[in-house]
Amino acid sequence: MEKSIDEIIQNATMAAAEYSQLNQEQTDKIVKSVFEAAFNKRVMLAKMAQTETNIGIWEHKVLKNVVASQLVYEDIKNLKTVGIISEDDESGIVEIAQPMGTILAIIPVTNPTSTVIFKILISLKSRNPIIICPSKKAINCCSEAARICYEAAIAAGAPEDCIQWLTSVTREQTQELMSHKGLSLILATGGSGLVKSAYSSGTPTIGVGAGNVPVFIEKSADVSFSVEQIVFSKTFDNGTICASEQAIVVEKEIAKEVIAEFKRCKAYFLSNEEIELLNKIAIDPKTHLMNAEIVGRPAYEIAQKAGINAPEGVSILMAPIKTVGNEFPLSSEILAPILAFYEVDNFEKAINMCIDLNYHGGIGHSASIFSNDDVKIKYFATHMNAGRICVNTPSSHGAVGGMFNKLSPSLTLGCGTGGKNITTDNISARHLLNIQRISRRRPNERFIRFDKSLYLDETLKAEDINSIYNNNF
Amino acid sequence: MNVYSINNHVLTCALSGRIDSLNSGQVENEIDENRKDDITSVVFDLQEVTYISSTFLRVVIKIAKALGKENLSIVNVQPSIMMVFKIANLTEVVKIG
Repeated sequence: MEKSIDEIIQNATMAAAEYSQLNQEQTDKIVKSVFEAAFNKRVMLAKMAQTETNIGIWEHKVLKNVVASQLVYEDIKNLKTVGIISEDDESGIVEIAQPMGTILAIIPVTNPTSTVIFKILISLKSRNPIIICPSKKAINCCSEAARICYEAAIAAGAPEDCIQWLTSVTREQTQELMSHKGLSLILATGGSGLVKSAYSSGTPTIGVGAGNVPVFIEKSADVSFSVEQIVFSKTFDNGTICASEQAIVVEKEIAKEVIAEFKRCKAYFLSNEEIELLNKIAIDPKTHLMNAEIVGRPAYEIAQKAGINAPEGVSILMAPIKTVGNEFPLSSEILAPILAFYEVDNFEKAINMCIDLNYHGGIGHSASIFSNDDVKIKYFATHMNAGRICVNTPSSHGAVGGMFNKLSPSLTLGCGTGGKNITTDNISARHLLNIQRISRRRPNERFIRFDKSLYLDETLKAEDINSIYNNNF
Repeated sequence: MNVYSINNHVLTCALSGRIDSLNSGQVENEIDENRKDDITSVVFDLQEVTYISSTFLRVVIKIAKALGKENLSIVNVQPSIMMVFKIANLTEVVKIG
């Protein structure tokens, strides 16, 4: 790394100072320019990411780059992010948007260039300088994505050093950056260790949690449609999106039909012996975490590695298992085309199984249901601890948003307090603003007319006070 | 139009308009040309300045380092420019009034 951490932060601080003077029009011009530049290089960056990381499928990474550029831009382009953003005469509240300051963006190996583009766009839209800290395994593609965005930003009038990127980084340097007093916010997308370390740095952090997405194919669902959607989603970029399906839960009544549809879609159902073989290479028995070597690899290659004789062209390895927990490794999150499969007696048992899966390493993230029964959909949703409950949609694409639903397109999915995050939102530019509120005098009529000395009388209980407080109102 | 005056070894730079990334190099050159050897302190009068770039902020840091904090002052700043110095964390580095 050529520059010291102090220099990087100082450069960003200078950029923040200059950026604070830009108006909405100037800011939007920069964001548009960066979107166009990143979008125009979507294919090159996707190929570069796949080649460097050996994860996923480049054609699918193109789509991720499209989501991160085109769809994110569409979502944020009309958002007011500078100065007065709302005025309400009735409440007397005027909201003013201010930038937060320098943002450190931690980039995961699974979605490298798309996350770089996404975080740069939302940071620039909110007038915050950004420092890109890529995964060690994706430094070149992330640097190139950042460089392309930076050149476009500068050409459109952005301040010097509004985007910086680390071309080599040690764990110690990352720690130093994260806890630097000149840093305002960390956008931490990555593994649990890294997110925890960001939280521990003392710098405000928007982090993410791990997923373990249960999918309930409820018996009113269109089975053929549901399975096609799941296979499309789980094979997308070889399952590297953290909101990708992890386990299928079906009621006994439709299980045969579901299995037949999966087989039609080239999924391969494993025998108990084959599940044992896959267990050994899929999950580390000590940490209970997925093995990095199979992340984003095709199903056939994983089968070969495990010594499983699956046919060439297999889409997904399906593991019919009975319970959830570390003693059943395939019930955990695996970012590869592997799905646990549960057949249960009835609706209630299906919901309980989904709760178990949801709480087995995926609290707060996402859940998925295929159903045509609105009551059951809502019942399912209220029993999941998940920021996103995708209905009749591929969960990888559904949770990311912008393609199959109206969620904000995002490569950073909040998982609420269950996932140790502050929000369940899909993170976007609106989360990167400090909102000030001018509050004009609008007296609370009941409070003003109320005899405040009554509060001093301890014999008056809440009910007594309320009746006086609300009298004739 | 930037006006430079020297009085009793003090260089006063009365700058005006936008000091953006396009013209801050020129401003830096003008300051360097006027900073003769016997100049002991520099005053930036920013009364007429409406925008400053990060490049100009670096010029300020450079001069503060060369002359010492006590020998560089910035006067007559508009509130919007005062905010910029605050965000840049430079109010500890230079005297601003």
